[in-house]
Amino acid sequence: MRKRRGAAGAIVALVLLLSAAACGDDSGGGTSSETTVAKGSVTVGSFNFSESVLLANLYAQALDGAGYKTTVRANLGAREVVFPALEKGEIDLVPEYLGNALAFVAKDEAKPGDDEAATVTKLKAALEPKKLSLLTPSKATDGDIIAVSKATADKYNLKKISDLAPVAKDLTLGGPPECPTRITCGLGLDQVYGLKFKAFKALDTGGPITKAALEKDEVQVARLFSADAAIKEKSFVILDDDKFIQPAGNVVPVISTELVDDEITAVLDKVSSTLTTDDLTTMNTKIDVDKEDADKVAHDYLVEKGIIKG
Amino acid sequence: MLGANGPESWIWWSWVGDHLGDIGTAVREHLELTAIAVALGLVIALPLAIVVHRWRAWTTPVFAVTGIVYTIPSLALFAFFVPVTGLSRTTAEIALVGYTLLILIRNTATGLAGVSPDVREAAQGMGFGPVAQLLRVELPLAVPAVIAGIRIATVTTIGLVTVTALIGQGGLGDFILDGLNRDFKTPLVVGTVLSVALAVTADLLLLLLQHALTPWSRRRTA
Amino acid sequence: MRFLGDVVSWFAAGEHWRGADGIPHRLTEHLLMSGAAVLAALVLALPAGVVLGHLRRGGVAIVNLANVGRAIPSFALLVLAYFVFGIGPEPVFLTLLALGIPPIVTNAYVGVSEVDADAREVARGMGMTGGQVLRHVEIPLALPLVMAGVRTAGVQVVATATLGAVIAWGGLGRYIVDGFAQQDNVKIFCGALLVAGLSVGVEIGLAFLQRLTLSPGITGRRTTMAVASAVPGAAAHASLSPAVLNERKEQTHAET
Repeated sequence: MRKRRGAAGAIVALVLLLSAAACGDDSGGGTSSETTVAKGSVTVGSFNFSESVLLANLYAQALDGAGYKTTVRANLGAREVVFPALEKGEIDLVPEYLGNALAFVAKDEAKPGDDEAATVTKLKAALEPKKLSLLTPSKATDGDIIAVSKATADKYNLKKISDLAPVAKDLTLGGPPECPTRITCGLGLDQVYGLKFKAFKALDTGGPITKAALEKDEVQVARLFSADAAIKEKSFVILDDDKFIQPAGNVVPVISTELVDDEITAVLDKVSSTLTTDDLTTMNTKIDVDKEDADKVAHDYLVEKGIIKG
Repeated sequence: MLGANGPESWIWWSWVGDHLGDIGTAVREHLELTAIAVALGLVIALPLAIVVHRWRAWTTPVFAVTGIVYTIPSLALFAFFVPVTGLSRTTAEIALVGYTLLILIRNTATGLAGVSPDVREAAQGMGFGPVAQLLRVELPLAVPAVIAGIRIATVTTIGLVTVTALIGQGGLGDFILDGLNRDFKTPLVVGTVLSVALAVTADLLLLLLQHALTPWSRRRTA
Repeated sequence: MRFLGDVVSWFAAGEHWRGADGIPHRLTEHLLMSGAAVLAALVLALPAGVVLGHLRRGGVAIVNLANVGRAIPSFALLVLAYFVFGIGPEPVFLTLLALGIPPIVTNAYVGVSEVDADAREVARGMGMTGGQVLRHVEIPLALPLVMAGVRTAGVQVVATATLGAVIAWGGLGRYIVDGFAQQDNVKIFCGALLVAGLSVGVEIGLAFLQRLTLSPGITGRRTTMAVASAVPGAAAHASLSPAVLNERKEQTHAET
């Protein structure tokens, strides 16, 4: 009996010892701060690619600087995961992309050729019954694009997506796993452009796996993001979206309606209005190529633009 | 190849230095997930092992079920529970606990069965009832086998916890996944090396514990 | 429950049985990859383990190799392989091969080296050379343990092949990974069912094969064994393979 209790006690002690030894500082990927002025707490969620984590940090740190208690939940997943979380109140704020959000929330409303203003109106209307609000979109855009390698473009003389029609059957499309079910991606290429590819390969969300696959010709056509510096660097050719399945890529915060007030709107709008596409591309390069942390890059940017103090 | 140590290197030392806090957090989370799984596994396995030991008929069903669970690949087992318990620690723990059961039950039952009949007879002769016999004679003598089981279960669980990163749980698997997502070798190497280090350390410590608790048996262990 | 109804519908849907993302293709992909990896592991590890076991050399190195191999999380190994070899089947194959080698080489080594010393001595006494001892005594007696190693390797390889989907490969894991991305709980569950079914099937199949390799002298005829063991030397007789028994009969006949 003593031996058995001894054994149990020793095991518990061991686990505690190991845990204590492993205790490091709790450093923050997210930010939270104590503040004398009691303001609400805001949970900011992001999609599972690095630019989204960056944007989440930009908005969260700006709010943090204004005295809110913020938490960043990064890399939650694709919109299929993030949007329900937003609806359920598990997160309060998501840095969205105008056109993609509309295509997801109200796919029948999205019409090819919609301009920014039309998309804003439709999206606001679609979000309202879900108790979500759309703030002012930024001029910074990062849209979904379809790209091919220079070699492929030259070989088949490709300038726009429709040019793929005769040759698609010999080509493999690469994109995120959710691509085949999305009207802005594989589904749209099939239904709107009538492209029947030889195969689809599930890669990642415009990230290193997709870019490597395109470069190595494992896939010939890939879904990437426009604000990715690698496109120019690797001489990828962006195919023109002549039938407009790729929606406007303006960055825009979507937030829980009950949190909206003048002050929070002002803080978030300030970030949105400051951000430019070039800024995004530069910061993306810092994160993707120089492997800097998203939260640090966001912090430095906000300090540089005077939105928060250093 | 012989360039300066930087983001493209297998280990970018200054990144490691800058992120010691995050690394510590990941190690702690990893250990937590493991400890909870093994502890809960023991809580379930010990009674089941006693049942199997006392009533032989239960051997086949218990081992069949825990054996099947053990055979199912980890990602699939997590996937079974995600629709029910979501992308949560609960899902991770349910599967992790499930994986420990076969090993823990089997080792405990073997330990209990290994108590020699002479000892049992002696205990009965001393007036111990079946419960007292179990608690004061059989279980203590089964301790080496139980701890050997805990050792195997712990090492196995440490490896499995890395997969929980795919359902959003922390631990060293996060570093591995981060490395994959960002095309960044350093967190991948850090995550891998630390997982192995944790497994080897836990194995050694538990082995020492096993020897410490059983001075009467110095048998060669594999 | 409606969810179960959805699961049944998913399996009933014709489109899930056609094309590159259909169940037959993914299943075949998974099995071919796993089979190829285990076969390659056998080719590499079995001779090494058997020979070293026969010579009774290198045991420490092999045990350590196996322990280290067990401690490396397969997920990490897969991602490391991706970094070195890019996407495609190569990193998956090499990882599976690396995972399959330790159990096969360890079990082959232990199986051969731990063959009953008496059996070996009897064989030597009958005039067999080292090579004959290996072929006629050690290997047959080691076969069950070797098969156990193949079984362990097989199950582990099939399991890890599931993770291949995370580095953009195919196989049955594809349904789980894509299901997560598409937030399709039915797909996730069905993928899990397929993977679980395959793994259990492989385990049962290999367990059956393992049973077949146990020599009859060990599995059946217990009373003969019990009696035989009372007579020194006859115990060895009971556990020798049929080939050796025939040779022995011939020898005995020749002597009389």
